[in-house]
Amino acid sequence: MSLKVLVVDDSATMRAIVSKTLKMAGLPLEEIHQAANGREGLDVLGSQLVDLVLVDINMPEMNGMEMIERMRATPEFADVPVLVVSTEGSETRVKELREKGAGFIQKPFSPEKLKQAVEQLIGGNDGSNN
Amino acid sequence: MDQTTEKILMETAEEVLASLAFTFVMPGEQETSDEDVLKAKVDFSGPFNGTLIAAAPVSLVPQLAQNMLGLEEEECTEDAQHDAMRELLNVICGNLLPRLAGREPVFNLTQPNVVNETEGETAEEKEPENPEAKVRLPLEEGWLELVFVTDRENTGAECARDANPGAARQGQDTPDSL
Repeated sequence: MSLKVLVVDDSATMRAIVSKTLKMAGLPLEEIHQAANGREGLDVLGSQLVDLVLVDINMPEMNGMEMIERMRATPEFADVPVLVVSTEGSETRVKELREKGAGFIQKPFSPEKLKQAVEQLIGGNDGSNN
Repeated sequence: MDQTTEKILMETAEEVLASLAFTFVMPGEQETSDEDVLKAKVDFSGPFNGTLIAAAPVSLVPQLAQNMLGLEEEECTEDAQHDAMRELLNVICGNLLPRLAGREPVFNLTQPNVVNETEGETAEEKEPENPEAKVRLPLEEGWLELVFVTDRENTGAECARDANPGAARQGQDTPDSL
């Protein structure tokens, strides 16, 4: 299976790092789309078929939590796996994400760790590494 | 200033620099020069509130950005350098707070921003008078300074022990195996 991935982060640096790390992880990638906040991310989802969303929490305009909530409330995107990529890794936050059906990986991370989190998420687990 | 907080800040920054920017702390101290610095700051709120400020010589920032982004020198614009500095600070702060407060509390971080890149700081932008911790990490091609300011009353060893009992034990004489 080849993956179409959407990376949502307000930092161009972090979007580049996540995209580079996805490639280094050896995942079967077909396309990587990028968006700078949750609103732009939802726009991409509306126009592209995506197999996996990697999203930051702390972003202007629409943060990652709101984007996930809107995805879950939209039938077309409700089942798209989401991996939250954030510096904020409190257990309370991770538990909240699990309840929304999202996985979590804390920045910074290695390609191996990212691959493991993606595979767990796509394989049906929650993808959390904490 | 609090030595335990400084130790945790130093360790956190060292780990993030190595894994995110492939930049390593060198032994000894880096000499201070009169070179202009780039400063960035991020505010946070939660069980306690505060600010983390990072400063680095302007000449170091392109190297950090190139390492983080895998760019060639000519591709590394000023925007990319500032964004890299902001993100580096963001990740250090995000990893620091759970080490000080434990993994349960939620902190909200503001968007990091670049404060100034040359001389001429305003009064508001001057270094805080009573930081909880201030460290300078000597790097191969410069240094990174971090200033951590909070409003919390109980700092250092007590909080770190509550937040991370295993790590706090490592500083004691009693072996972990006992």
